[in-house]
Amino acid sequence: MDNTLSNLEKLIQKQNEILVLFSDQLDSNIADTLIVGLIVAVGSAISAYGFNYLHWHQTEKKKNKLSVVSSLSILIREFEDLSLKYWLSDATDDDPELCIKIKCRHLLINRYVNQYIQLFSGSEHAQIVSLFSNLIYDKVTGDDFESRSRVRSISKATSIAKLCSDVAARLNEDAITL
Amino acid sequence: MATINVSKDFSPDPIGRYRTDSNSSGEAFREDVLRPAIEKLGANEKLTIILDDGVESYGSSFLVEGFAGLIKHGYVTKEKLLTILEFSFSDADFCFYRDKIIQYIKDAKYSSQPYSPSSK
Repeated sequence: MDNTLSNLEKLIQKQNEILVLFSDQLDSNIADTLIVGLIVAVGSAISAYGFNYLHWHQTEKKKNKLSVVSSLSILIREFEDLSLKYWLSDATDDDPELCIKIKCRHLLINRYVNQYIQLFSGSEHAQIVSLFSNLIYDKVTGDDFESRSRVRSISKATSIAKLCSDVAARLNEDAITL
Repeated sequence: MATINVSKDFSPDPIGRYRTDSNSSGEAFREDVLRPAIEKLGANEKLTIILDDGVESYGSSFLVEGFAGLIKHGYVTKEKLLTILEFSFSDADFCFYRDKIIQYIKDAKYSSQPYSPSSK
C-alpha cells in the first residue's frame, strides 16, 4: 500500500514536470486549464483506487470470516456426531478409534475458535464460542472417557447435543448476517 | 530445574483416568512419575512438564486425574503446585491443555481420603 502511494506521488510529480514543459510552449490560459483538468483527473483516479482498495479489503475480511464460521460449523457437527456415538453406547472395541477422532476434532475446533475470537472480538458470540470450547472438552472427554468400564449416558449425550446445537445456531446467525 | 517429558518419561499415548483403563492412565502418571518427581524437588526448584514432543492430544479424564489428583489426595496444596509447575510445548495447540491443567488444579478440592490404588 505504501509503495503504491509512493509510486502515485512520483507519477503526479512527473506529470507536473511534463505540464510545466507544455505550459512554456502554450498560451498561459490554455496551459492553466490543462493543468486543472489533469489534476482533477489524477485526483479522481487516486480516489477510485482508494475506494476499490477499501472495498477489496472489506470483501476479503468478509470471505475470511465466512470461511472460519463455515469450517467451525462443520467441525462442531462432526464432533457432535462422534461424541454422541461414543456416549450413547457402553465401552466397545471401537472406543480407541472414536476417542482419537474426538480428541483430534476438539483440537481443530479449538484452533478455529481462536481464529473466530480474533475475527469477531468483542461480540457476544465470541464469548459464547470461547466458553463452548472449554465446556464441551470437559463434558465429552471427562468422567469415564477412555474408560473400559464406561456405560452409556443419555443425559451426557443430551447435554452435548444441546451445547453443540446452541453454538451451531449462533454460527448460522453469523453466516446469515455477514 | 527438573523436567518431565510426558512422551519419553511416561508414554506417548496418555489415556484414561485409572489404571483399570490403561497402563498410561492419569493415575499411573500421577503416582509413578509426577508425585515422585515433586517429592525429589529441592527448595524453590521448579518442575517443567513437556506436554507435546510425541504426545498428540490429551483427554480431560487423564489431565484431571494426573494433575488435580495430587490435590485431591492431599500430596500437595494447589498454591504450591501452581508455583512448582511450569509447562513447555512447541505446538501452539497445546496452550489449551496447559490452560486446562491450571484450571483443574485451581478447581481441585482435597477429598480428605487417602489414596487407594484402583485395581487392575
